[in-house]
Parts: sequence; structure tokens; C-alpha cells
Amino acid sequence: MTVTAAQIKEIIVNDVDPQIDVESLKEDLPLTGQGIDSLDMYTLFLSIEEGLGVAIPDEDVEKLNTIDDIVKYVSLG
Amino acid sequence: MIGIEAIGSYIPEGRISNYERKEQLGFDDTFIERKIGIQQVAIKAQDEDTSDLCVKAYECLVEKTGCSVEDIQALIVITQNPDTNIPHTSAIVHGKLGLPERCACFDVSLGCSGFVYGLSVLQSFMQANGLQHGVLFTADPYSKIINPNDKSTASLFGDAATATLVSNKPHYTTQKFTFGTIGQSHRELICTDGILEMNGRAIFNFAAKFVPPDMEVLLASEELALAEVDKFIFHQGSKYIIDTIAKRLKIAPEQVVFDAADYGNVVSSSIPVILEKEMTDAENSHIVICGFGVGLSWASALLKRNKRTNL
Repeated sequence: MTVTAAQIKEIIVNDVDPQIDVESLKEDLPLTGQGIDSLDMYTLFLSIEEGLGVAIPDEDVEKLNTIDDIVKYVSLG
Repeated sequence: MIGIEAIGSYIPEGRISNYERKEQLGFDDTFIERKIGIQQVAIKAQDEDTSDLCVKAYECLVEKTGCSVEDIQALIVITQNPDTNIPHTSAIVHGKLGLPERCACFDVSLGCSGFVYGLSVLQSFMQANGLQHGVLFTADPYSKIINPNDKSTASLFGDAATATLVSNKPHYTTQKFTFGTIGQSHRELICTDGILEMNGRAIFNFAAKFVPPDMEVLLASEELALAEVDKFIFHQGSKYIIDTIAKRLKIAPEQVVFDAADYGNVVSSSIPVILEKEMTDAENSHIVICGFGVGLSWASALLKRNKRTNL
């Protein structure tokens, strides 16, 4: 499956936090330093699992900190 | 017809503030207030045991209703943190309250879904045996099993107890119940070697995935729309979980109650602590209660106000 950074950003604004300025999110920096907290990450991962049909086991979550990490992970999955 | 006549509760005075330990927890004020929503957790005194919390909740119930111990024919305690493994805590409560010898007592081992399950169990038991007065206790003091350095549990769980009088003079009667279990995930919230461990993501996913569709099933069976429910009282796992469920159901903020900021997630007591307050509001014709957690287990019920009674 191919997924883009724009799709991940769309999930963030639709499901995680509609107030967030997704255009300002740096794709190579951890999301938790850019206004998204650990609970928001739960929502993000759940939305990716449900919306894109990709399972994200707990052991992989620690590796998924940036939008780039997520894009790579989902695309490889 | 039997149902809920009144609820008494006891929240110990002791508190542990999440603000005072926010550096240790790695939280900021915004996270405490807007995300977990729990500013402090209630904690019992060291010399208070589970049965003592039940006795205090019963005293509150007596103040409200004037019910007499002589009238109580059945007593259930919902707990997974009993005074002792043997005997059952309900027998200890029975002894402390001086209830009649011909009063049935048993414990039910359930966590956050326990109040809803217990209501169904007690009502069914009373109806099957022709009883008119029973008390459902919830008391699960997690302070007995919390690791104070585990931020995922220490910042959330508090101590409390409730006593619900189920009688033939109900202010609310139960309509449909729903129940469910995902036993394969039982390790996600577990106490081993006396310490509670929780996989926060797994519990969040469980609540977000299973509670909203369960609400649809519950209400469809009663031909009631989500908008026709006056209050949804969800188990107070955290503000974030409740906000997520509400968002997924697309229900109005005023239909959803979050009340745990001052005392925390009090496990099986979280629903009756809120129901005690909400049942005094005559506008609340239909209330949905939904508990979810340990098991992983959930239980939901629709409550309907008896229009002929006033609190």
C-alpha cells in the first residue's frame, strides 16, 4: 500500500485535532513535539488501522514518531 | 416492578494531586485538564478496608432513604480488591451493618463493567426469589494495587464506594441490557503479584472500537435514537476516552457527563457516583449507562425514569 504524508496529515486534522495547523507540521520531526501528545497518537494509530487497514502492533509503535516514519511503515506494510 | 430507588456514595477525603507530581508523571497542566481530565485521585485512609468503604456508602444511602437494615434481603459487593480472599467481602459488610440472618450475600468479581452487570444480576436474583429490597455495593480501592511510579495507572485510579438500593419503589427502571467480553485481551489490564498493569493503548482501542457500536445495538433494540437519550454515563476511564466515544457517536456534549476531575477513575463506582447526581434531575427521562474495562469486558443498560416518583 502506498500512503502519502498528505494523507497522514488529513487523518490528523480529521480525526486527531481539527485545530492543528497541519501545514506547519514537519514531516521529519517527532509529532509529540509539534502539538500532538501521547493520547493523540493512540487516535492517529487507530485511525490508520481502521482507515487504511494496516495493523500496527504495540512493539512497532515506538518506532513511529514522525510522519515520515508512518508513511514508510504503512507503505512497507 | 423493581429498579433503582436511590444511590449513596462515599468518596474518601484523601487526595493525591496530579499537579503536584506532574514533573514525575511527565504531564503539563493542559494534558491533565484537557486530556486525562483527572486533576486528583481520591485515596482511602490506610486503616480503611473495602468493607469499610461499603459501610460508609451505606450510611449515605440510609441518610437519603431512611431504609432499615431489617428490610435488606440481598446484598452484592462488586470488587476485585476484597478485604480478604476468604470470606467474601459481602459477608463482612453484612456483619458490620448488622443485617438480618436471612439476607443473601455474595460478591461478583468484575471491574469497570461491574455496576451494570451487578444491577442485572441483583434484579434477576430478586425477581427469581420474590425479594423486594436489595443493595448493590461497588468498592474497588485500586490504591491497594497501584505502583505509585506507574504514571499510566497512578494518575488515573481513585478509591470510592457506592450503595444502590434496588427495590419495588424505583425511580429508574432498567430496560435493555447488553454485555460483551474480549477475553483474548485479558492481559491488557491485569494485576499480577499484587501490582496493577495497564496497556493504555489497548484499553483506548477497546473502548473506541466496541463502545460506540454497542450503543447502537442497545438503542436500536428499544427503538430510541441517540439524540433521545438525555444522558450517557460512560465509565470514567479518562476524559480522552469519553471524548473519543462521544466524537465517534456524534452525540452532543451536553448529553455526556465527565465528573472524575476531583476523584479519578473509581472503577465500578464511576457510573453510580454520577448516576446518584443525575437521577435527581427530572429532565433525565432516559439515561444510558455503560461500563468497560477489566476483562476486557463491557456492559450497558438503558434506564427509564419512573414519572410517578420524585426524588
